[in-house]
Amino acid sequence: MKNSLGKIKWMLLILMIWVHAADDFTSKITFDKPTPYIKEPVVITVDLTQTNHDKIIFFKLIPKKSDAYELHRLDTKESDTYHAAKVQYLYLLYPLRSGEINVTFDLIESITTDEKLAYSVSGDRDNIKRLNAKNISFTLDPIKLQVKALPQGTTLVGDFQLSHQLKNHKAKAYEPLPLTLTLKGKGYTPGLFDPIRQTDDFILFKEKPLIKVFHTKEGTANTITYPMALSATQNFDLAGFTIKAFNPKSEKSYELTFPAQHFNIKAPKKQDLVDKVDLPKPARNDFTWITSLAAYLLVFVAGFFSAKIIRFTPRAKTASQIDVLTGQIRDAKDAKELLQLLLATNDSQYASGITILEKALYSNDTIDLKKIKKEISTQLNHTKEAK
Amino acid sequence: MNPYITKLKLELHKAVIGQEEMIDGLLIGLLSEGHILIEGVPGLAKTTTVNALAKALDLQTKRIQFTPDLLPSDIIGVQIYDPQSQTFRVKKGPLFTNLLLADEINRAPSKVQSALLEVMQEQQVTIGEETFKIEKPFLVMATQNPIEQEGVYTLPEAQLDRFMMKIVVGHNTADEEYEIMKKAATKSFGKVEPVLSADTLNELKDGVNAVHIDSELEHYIIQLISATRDPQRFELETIENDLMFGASPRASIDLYKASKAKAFLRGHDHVSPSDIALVAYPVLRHRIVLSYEARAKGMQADEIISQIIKTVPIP
Repeated sequence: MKNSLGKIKWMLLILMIWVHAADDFTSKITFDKPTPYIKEPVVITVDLTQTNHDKIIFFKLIPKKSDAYELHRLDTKESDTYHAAKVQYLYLLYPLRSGEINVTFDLIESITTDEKLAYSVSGDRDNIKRLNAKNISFTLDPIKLQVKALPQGTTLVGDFQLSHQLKNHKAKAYEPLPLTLTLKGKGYTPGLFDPIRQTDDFILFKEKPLIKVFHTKEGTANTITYPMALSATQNFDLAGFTIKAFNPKSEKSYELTFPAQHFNIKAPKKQDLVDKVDLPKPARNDFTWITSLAAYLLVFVAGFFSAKIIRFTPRAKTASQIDVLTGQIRDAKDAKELLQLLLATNDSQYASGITILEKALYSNDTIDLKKIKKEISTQLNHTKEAK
Repeated sequence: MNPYITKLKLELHKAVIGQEEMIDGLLIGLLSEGHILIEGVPGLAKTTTVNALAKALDLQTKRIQFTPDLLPSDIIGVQIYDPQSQTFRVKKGPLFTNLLLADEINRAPSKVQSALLEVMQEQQVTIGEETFKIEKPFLVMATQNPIEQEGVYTLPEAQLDRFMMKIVVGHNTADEEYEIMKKAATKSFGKVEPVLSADTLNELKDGVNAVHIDSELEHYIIQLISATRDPQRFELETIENDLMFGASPRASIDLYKASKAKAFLRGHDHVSPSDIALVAYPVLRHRIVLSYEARAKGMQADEIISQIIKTVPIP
């Protein structure tokens, strides 16, 4: 019986505030906890309903900022019906200090007509037409919350678990020992802190913590991961730590603990650290630079002289080609062979010789092959002298 | 020599002194419908000669000055939106002509060169989704500077192969240069007039087609081309390592057509081995790819061709 009365009393405490504004709409603010603890989630619902259906009304709700609370919008449900606007805003609130706090909302009512609305939507991407509306500002009656203080020394508020991942406790000197701490649970998102502090016994490597936060009606789901690695040259102990937390649902304090850890570090043997072969080898008695220098000089001299040789080659080549051709003409056995040689020269000065040879070969004209050879050789000699 | 050819050559010599080989090469290209590439250092009348030929022919002529910032659409044409009819219409580029003078062709990068491939081989142009046929005769006469010069690109092999002949222009003789100097000083270069109509050009082409070529010479052409691909078969071991790629089948076709045109220009009614040998150099020199060793030795494609002519037996 006593329990039933308690439930009824609790239900009665859920307040409803009605505001009637200028005959155009009604507003209703609902919240689920009138006496929350600091950092305990409170769900606030604001319903706005148009009552004057002659007008077209749009609403804009703006929560007032304050150091006394933190507010997150969870959802907005809006009906698309003109002349009968109905909007529901859903917020998640975290009180940040104890005592009485007021949560205030500002509201802008934009009143327009069908014609003005039609004009505004007649534009396009490059020709935007502003909606002409009459704006009326209101401040809704504030919600009053009686916020209860947290037990002394509380760091976390909500239902959290602290877990850690540590693959092994043994390693070689300077070998990294990966360690991951994860703080997971529903409640007020805790601020970042250094879970492990570096000491002279080990070197601590830290990455940026990974934070995943989702706001829901039931509170805020948090997953905060601290990836780290430890490295040392000798055995060491890692101190544990404890976080004091408070669960407002059960109204009980609890502790999250990371236990102290001992690590065994295997130092390398001195003989393993020393190279068995001396490297680099001693520089004394090393005369390889002389052979390298000699090779460079040889390449340079060869390059220098080959360039000089090429410079004088073409003239020699031309002269030898003429000599070769003269010899080939002298050795030509018949008119056909001589004709082929002359055609291969691609030189118009032998045109008459080519014509005579072709006539002899294909029109059966008689020719004196020796005389033609002599004439061509004379021409070649003139060419050689000219060059 | 054919009187029309004589007349045409006389007309060309009003503007060009000497350079017989270049003029003959251009006429061979004109008569056998082959594109011509002329290479030479600046100032050797390459552009003047092609311009003079364009003026001497009663054909539609257009000129493109190739530059590094040229775009394919500058050559082939482009689709333009017409706001009045709300449709796209085609603005045809300078390719739509009979005689195209592509000046300093290797000053444009490869994407522009690629735009010429379709029109040079298939004589058609594709703009957007539409393909247009180019009216015949269509001839590209291109000039280029040697690759050693500044600001020039190497033409792709696929495009080089589409040129029937590559004519290398050398300097004029001292007498010719004296005449050029005097004429330039007195401004006495003649004005080139159209002397050859499209109908006459067709008659001349028929004349080239009528030139007889013996089947043994046809096989001689095939053997010359084969020797560029497989020198060992022709006991040309000395040049085997100097060749990277031999000439393509287009080379056989072009050598056949060019030798007939050469015989026609020389006033012959049949092709002789010298006709083939004379055009073998311009037909093959841009189609033979020399090996690294050959280039390091400073060899030229003409030396390889000379070796081949010297070795492959003439009929």
